[in-house]
Amino acid sequence: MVEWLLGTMSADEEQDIAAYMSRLATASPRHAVHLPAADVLWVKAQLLARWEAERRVQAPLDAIEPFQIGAGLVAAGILLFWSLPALLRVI
Amino acid sequence: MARLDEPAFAACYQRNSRALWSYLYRVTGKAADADDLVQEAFCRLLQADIGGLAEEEQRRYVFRIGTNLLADRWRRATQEASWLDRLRGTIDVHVQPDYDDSVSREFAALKPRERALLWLAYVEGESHEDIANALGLSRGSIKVLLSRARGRLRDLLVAKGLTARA
Repeated sequence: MVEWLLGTMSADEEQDIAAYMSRLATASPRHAVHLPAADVLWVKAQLLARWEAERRVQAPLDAIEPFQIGAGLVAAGILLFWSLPALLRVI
Repeated sequence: MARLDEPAFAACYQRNSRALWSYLYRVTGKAADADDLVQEAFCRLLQADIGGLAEEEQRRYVFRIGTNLLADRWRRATQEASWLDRLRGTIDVHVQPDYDDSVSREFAALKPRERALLWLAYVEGESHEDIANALGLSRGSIKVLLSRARGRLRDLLVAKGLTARA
């Protein structure tokens, strides 16, 4: 049913579209194509892969950094609270 | 399967980079975008285990990566659009293509997905199944969408008097 509904294009029309697409495929754009050489891209890809691997290793460390800072601040607060009487006596 | 080594990568790049550039240029309408996307696609290709694939399968694979990158770019552009645009429904992330030849004028009037469908079907000669894989759609919807895209292009060609019927 769907095939029948969609099959409304004649063979001529189909040919026209194929011919147009073929013209389009062979039409060369005036824009310059800026693609690097394969060896340059190879080096770039290797670097990107290395950075990605480093980022993956670094990610858990980055994730726990706020907790480290938080724990440090809490410890400093407790230490200050604990030693406050002694400090006040000295002052 | 293993990753491509340098000579295999160079050969794959020589075979497919220009064709992929043409596809991406025709779909995005921007030469600079096509330059970026081709590089990104081949960088990603190197992360995939495709060393054992035949040349034709490698070509399809890199076209699929290119199509995914296009989809990601559009998705990001849609997400970055302001909430007001979304509310008004005036969001249009697809910028007008800047093709520089007269042949492309009708093609520019199509939506990017229609351009992708027609290019993959007619220029790359891919099957419905391969197009469905590349675009992440079902095989059934490819038939419908491709038929609609053909119909739209036919209407544009008829309107411009570029068909035998006109």
